[in-house]
Amino acid sequence: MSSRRRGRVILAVAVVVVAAAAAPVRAQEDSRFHLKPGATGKVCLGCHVDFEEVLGRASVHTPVKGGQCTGCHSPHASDHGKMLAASPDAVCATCHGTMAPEGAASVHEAVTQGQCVSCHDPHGSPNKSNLLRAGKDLCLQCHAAVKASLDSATHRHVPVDRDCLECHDPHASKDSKALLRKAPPSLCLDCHKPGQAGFAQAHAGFPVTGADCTSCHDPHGSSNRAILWATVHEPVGNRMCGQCHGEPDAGKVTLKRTGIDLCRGCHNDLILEIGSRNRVHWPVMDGIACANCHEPHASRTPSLLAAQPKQLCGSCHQDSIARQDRSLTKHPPVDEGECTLCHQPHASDATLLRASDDDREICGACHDWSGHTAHPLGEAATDQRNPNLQVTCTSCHRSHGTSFKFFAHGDVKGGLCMQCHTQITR
Amino acid sequence: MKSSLVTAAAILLTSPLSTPLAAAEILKLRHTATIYADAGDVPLRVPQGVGCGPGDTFLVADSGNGRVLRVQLSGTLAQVTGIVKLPEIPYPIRVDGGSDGSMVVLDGRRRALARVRSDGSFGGWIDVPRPEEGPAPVVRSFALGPGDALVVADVAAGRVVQLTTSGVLERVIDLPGEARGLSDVAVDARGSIFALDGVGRKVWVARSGESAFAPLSGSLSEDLDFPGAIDADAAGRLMVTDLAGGGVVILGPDGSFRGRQSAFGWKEGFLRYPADLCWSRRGLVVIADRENQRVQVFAVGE
Repeated sequence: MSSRRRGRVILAVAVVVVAAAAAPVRAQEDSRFHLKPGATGKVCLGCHVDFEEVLGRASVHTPVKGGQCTGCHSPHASDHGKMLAASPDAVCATCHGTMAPEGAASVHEAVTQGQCVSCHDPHGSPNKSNLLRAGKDLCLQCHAAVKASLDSATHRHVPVDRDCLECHDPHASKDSKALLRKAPPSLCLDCHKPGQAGFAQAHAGFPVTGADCTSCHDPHGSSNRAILWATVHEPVGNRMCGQCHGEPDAGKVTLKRTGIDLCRGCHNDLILEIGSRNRVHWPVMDGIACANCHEPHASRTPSLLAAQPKQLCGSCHQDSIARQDRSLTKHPPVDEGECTLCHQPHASDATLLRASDDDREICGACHDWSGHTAHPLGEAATDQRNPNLQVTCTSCHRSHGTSFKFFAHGDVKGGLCMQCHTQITR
Repeated sequence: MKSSLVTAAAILLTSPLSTPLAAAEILKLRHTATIYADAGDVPLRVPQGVGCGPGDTFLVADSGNGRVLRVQLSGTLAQVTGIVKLPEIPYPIRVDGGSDGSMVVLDGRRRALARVRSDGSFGGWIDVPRPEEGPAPVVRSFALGPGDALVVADVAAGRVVQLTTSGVLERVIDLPGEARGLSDVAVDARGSIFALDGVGRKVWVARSGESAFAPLSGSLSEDLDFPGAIDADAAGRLMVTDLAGGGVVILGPDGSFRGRQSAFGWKEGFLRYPADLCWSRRGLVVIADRENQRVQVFAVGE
């Protein structure tokens, strides 16, 4: 037998084998629901006539293409919506597994919740991978904050306009946060080569290839040149890295001074003011000092804060944030994270780092308390429970919240007043 | 039948299984006395520190008035018997008494320690050695241990420094990297140093002679809101104030939770932002009830 003929025989045998392998599946389907041979899929199309259009789309889900509707749907009755044979995440996982490796550093919430159809059309789509929309349009449907920031940014990171998946894995990332395919700087260095012209000059000659690029740069885009974050520390913007950092030593970046002394060079007035106060916010004084709360390079928030105030302050004072979360009545400055409306973040002469030791001054900034209550307050009113105290706003209210209405210390219809006015208790 | 039950009960009570339950005593605080003002009726203002002296005496850092008070307790009567007001210490926030009648005071504005002689005169600033390659010390708190050894919480370098009464460096213990904020220190009768991590809601311990801290407790976040101060009794039990939640938490020598006493409030027996406490050898606990502008004394019992 010639080699060419031998090849044709092998090919024919292979086709027969594959067909035979497929036949039991279809035969199984046909037999499971006692369908006539070849009726699988076609039976469904008898009623679901609009499905013909789906079958014509550029990307069609393989079981749909093969007419295996009962691979996902239970044709007679189901405990799940859309007549699915199981819960949505279980149906997809039958073929596609969990899509997130064990111990993944980050997992897309839609994957965790088994909401595959948030992104994929289970039948067919004009877009590859059956995506509901193409490119970043799909992602920005949910990630509104990123969309808002991109809409206002004058400089957009080029990959963002191409496809989010250039940097992000849509399902999970084994090693990195934020679904990044690799952590920065490794991810960034795939495109941005340190040897490229201008790279060293842009970074004032400092060895940054070991640093997290996102400590200075907004990876999506910003209105600052070099897509630096919205608020840039002045020495960084002026490429005066030497103001804080010593000369690089064997590729290692060092600080010229430690703690609060590092910032004293430019912020001496503020530091002197802090030092003159009776009470200091203790993180200001420790080894990390200002960097406990402020980003030293650039930040998306004003005043170079490392996070939004509610998250930042709440990282230590989680009890105060939790108290507000549990509070029956919300106090907007607390609920919205405007901590500095009432507290001095660095130092104060008043306890609790309040802006004043007179509660009426602080509360009065928002509340016209004189119109709110005729109850005697201040020097004219000694707290009946404690001779060393005057009646003030916090005699009745706890500003971070309580389980009572108006964040009072007790039920305003009875118990609260009785704490002092015992003479009217029955 | 009855004899069988009695036998079974006897076996149960004497078995090793019953021992842990019997050993975990519950401590209770019974309000004994309150100090609102000195003998001249000058009210306390923002008292932030207390130190237990010999017998039924103790010291109060009356911060808002810029002075230290000597207090004598007689039964349920607490009387201010002496006032120390020094221009060098405008804002005392911590105080403890030496065995010779002197005292050590932490000034909150300067964040440094001062010695005050038994006659109330200023005895100079205490030099806390600076680390070799570190920032100048910033003292957040301190404690006096056996033999008047001085244990200092230096937040700038994130460490605890132990000095002899004459200022000689004995031990330097760095706070572990996972600790988030050094709030207070305490020393027990055996010289074990306890460091309170206020932000991490955890207690660390370095036994006598050890040069590193080990965790004594797990996270106390289920038991208190924001810890402020810590002290130890002669048996090594610990008491921690809950600044934001009011009240105090009691821990056993092994760091196990042994109960919570008092609560947030204004009336006697209740606390609002208890800033400091001291646990005397005579079973009294004195608490600087800061936002209530007073100091309260409790007897500790089972």
